Amino acid sequence: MTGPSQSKLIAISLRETKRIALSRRRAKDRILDESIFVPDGANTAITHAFFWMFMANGVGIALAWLLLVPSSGYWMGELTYGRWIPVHLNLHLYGWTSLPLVAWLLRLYAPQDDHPSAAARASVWAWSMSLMVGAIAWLRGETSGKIFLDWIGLARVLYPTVMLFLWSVLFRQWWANRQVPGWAPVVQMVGLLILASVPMAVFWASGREVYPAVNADSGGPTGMSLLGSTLIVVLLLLLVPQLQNRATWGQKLVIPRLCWLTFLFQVGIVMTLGFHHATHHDWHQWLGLGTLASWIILMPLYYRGFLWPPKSMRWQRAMLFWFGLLVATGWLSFLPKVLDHLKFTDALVAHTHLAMAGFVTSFNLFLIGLLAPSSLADHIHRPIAFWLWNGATATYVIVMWVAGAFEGADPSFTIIRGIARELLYAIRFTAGLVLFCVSLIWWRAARSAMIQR
Amino acid sequence: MIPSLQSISWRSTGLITATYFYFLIFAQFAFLKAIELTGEAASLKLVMGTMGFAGILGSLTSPLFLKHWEWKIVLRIGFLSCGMMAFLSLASWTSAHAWSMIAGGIGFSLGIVTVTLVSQLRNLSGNHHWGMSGGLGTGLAYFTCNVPAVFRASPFDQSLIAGIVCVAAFFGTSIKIESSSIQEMRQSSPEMHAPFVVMLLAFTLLIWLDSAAFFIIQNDRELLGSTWGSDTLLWRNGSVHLLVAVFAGWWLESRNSLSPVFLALGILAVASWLVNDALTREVGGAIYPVGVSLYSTCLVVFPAYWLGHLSLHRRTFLASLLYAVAGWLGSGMGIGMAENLHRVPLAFVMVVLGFTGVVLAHEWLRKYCRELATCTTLLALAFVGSELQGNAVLSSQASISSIHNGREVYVSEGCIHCHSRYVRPSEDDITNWGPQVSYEEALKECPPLFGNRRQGPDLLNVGLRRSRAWLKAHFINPQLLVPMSTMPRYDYLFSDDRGESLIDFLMDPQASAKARYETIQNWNLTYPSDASHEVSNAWKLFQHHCSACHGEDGMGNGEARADLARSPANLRYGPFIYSRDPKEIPRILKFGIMGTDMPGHEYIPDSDIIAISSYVKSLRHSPHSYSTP
Repeated sequence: MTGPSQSKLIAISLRETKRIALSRRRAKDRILDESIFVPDGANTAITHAFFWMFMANGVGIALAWLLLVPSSGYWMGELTYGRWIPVHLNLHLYGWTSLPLVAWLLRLYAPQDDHPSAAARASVWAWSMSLMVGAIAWLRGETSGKIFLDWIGLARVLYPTVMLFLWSVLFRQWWANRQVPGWAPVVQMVGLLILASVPMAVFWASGREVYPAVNADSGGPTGMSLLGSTLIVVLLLLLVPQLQNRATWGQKLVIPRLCWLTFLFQVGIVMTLGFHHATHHDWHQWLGLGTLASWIILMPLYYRGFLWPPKSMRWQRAMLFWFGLLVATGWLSFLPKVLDHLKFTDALVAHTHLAMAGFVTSFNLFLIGLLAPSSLADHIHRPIAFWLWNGATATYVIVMWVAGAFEGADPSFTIIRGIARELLYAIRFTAGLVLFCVSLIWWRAARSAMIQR
Repeated sequence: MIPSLQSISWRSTGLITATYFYFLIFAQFAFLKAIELTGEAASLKLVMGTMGFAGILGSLTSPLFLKHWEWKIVLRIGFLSCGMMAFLSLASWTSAHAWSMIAGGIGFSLGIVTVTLVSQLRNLSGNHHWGMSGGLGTGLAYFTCNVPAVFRASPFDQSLIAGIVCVAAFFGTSIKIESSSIQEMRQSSPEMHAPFVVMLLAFTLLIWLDSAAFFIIQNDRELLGSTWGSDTLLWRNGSVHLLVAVFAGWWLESRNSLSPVFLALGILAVASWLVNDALTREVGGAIYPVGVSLYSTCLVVFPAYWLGHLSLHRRTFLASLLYAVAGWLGSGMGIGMAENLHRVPLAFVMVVLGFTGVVLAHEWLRKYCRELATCTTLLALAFVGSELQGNAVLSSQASISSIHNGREVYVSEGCIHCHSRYVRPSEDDITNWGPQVSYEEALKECPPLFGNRRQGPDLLNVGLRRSRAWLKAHFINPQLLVPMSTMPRYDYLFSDDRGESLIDFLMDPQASAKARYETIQNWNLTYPSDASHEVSNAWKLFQHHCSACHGEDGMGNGEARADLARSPANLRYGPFIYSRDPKEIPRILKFGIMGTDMPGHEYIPDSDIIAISSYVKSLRHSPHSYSTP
């Protein structure tokens, strides 16, 4: 290489470095100047979400205690373990998991005039009311018998009705904003059209006559069902930076393009292999599910391309870590021999908690950190609560995996309580107690942030 | 801040004590007992009705008396009249009319005394601590009534004491009051946040509940015994009354808050619900005095001080309304309810609690009225929708069998959260839980109950592994048959037909017994390389898995034997004595005996089966010489 061309190259390189640095600084300034507007309804939804997380965790530790000391449940009469489980599961799914997404929707469709929307607030209260009605029904022994779709009777009609009401609130806000220039109203309308199908889908799926494809060798879901449901999560993860309008820096378009192409490819796999009954011994199933492993690398790269408030990075990293672990262990657990060993054991409990306490919670807290007023966001980003939560979750998951491994080899490990089982379950209870206490702290912080407003 | 003794108006305290004492020990108790003792029990209703009617009349006419006469004169006449009625009742009247006339006199005099006293209490108290006077006066009255010597005295003695107390009160009213203190007190009258009508309704419900609960306690000998049956209980009740009343007085004055009224309402609602049931009666009886003392203090203090900012005429009128409606009418309603229904209906308790909740949370309700309106509307819409949907489902259903009901119980109790109903096509699963049923068959059920956790065994082929009797005993007390089981007790399912239906569902054959039999016959025991530990542990394993039925020494005399259809085998002298097949005992231990109460132990490791088997054989070989470690 000649001298002048080398100096030219160095000059170009320096110029490029300066450009990137400038773009990064501008983007950072934009973040710092960005005043977070939190609509009233979204704020209410966040507070309610924390409340339900606290309640669900409370029920959770009570259940963990019942497995340690079954006799302590005698005084509860008909409110036995089996009736509390749907309360625990559904409060987590429809309360803690769903309400931050409701908050996000209310933020995305927020009226431009910053006018507090009583209807949005009311829709969140109605959501909580439907959960309460559901919880009462489950405790009364009224359930469809389908895990995570226990809605039946009044609750089965009420929950979709509340969803429709929320949809009407979003529609009203979209209508008020429809004249806003740009593509936003069109994108929002497409979103509304998709959301309109959700209430009916929930009502239909809760029906006893409807049941998804079955893995005949395990009695559980097929690989394609798992791939399909995980792709919804992937879609959500891909949409968050886009819909939050996060600034990009120094990112070549190749990563986002690769991500969307991978996503479409996997949707294609699901469509091709279909939702028919198939076993995990069928190589199509476990190989198809295995394509999810690509996200362990792609998703962090994708998120790296956007600029985020520095404080939110802690929960973002946790979210990406738990997501990667969930995908990896989920696939490993589905493999022939492994699933045969772990099915129906505590390993499933470990997987569920890895998903809910690990991934979903960190995703929600990351999202809430972006949506919530600074007083609450500061609280969420505090390192003590962060490490307590993630440490307790990791402990919980490991303990349950160990218990599951023992149980897979010897069913009597769980059915007849021995010292090893008791010890593991005691650690699990302690970890649950930590999760419960942290959720109480968060709920209190959300409440006081709400009151301050 | 705790007030000093000098700051309490002892005159007001004494007059309140006298009035309450007269009402509690005489009007409500000794007088009625005296009628019963003279053989006129049949006329009790008439007498009580007359007293109630006269009480209303006395309360309502008090403002008229106070308009024309000085309040001291009215109060003196009232006390004198009360005393006279007490002395008159000492004669053993044999006519129902005579008793009714006295009852009328009691009611009328009490009506006048109570309304006059509470409407003039601020004049009597001067600048003293009004709340403490009210609380202490009420508490002392309840305490004195519960002193064993007074409580157990004859109706004659009780009436006599009540008469004397009234005479003392008559003289207690003749003390001068400084007029300046009245002005000062008027300025410091606390503000009433709730409308008078709400308070009137609250007090009516309180007295309604109190009277109903009191009537139920009085008419249940067992409950009466556990509430007022011993001197200790009487001292306890008296002390609780005194402490709670003083606390209520302090609370009302220091916080200027009427919250004790609604707290009392909540406590009495719960107490009157608890006294309905034999199991919870004692708890209800124990918390009942707390609610009574709380509201009794409020009943004195509220009209005296919360209505203090009103003119004398208006204050007297409202006080008369309060005592006529809440006091006398509420009391009559409560007694009537308890007498006719013999219980306080849950609906009534819920109404009271609902009313309390609304009053206490009215600020919150006002703030969130839109949210509440939305929730109510959506709930109503959903209710209509679910009713329509429910009717459609019901009309499409054919006859419902016991198995179907049992399946509903299985779903309802959340059995799927601990048990699977799916045998996987693996050797282990088929050996342990019975023949496989194809997923196509399973999917015909709505919904299929595959489950996703096995805290306990798979429940697909229970009928091939357990007997009805064993299942029932296990549902009622799981830890009796499986000592370290985490299974909850489901004894409540057998209070109706749910339990039997659930067993019908579980026993319903899903696969053929022949297939299960073949599996059992083809089963090969896996002998571990070193079984010494397990064998040494055999006695413990036997106690754990077998002793509940076969007894600790294998004689077939276990605790659970009474629950089984046939007595468990005597393992020392029983049928195994002649068993020659070395695999037979391990096989029975593992799979049980189909068609009998002998259950399998499918989930325990083969090493444990070998150990228990050795132990059982040892019982057989040396039935008399085997000794436990």
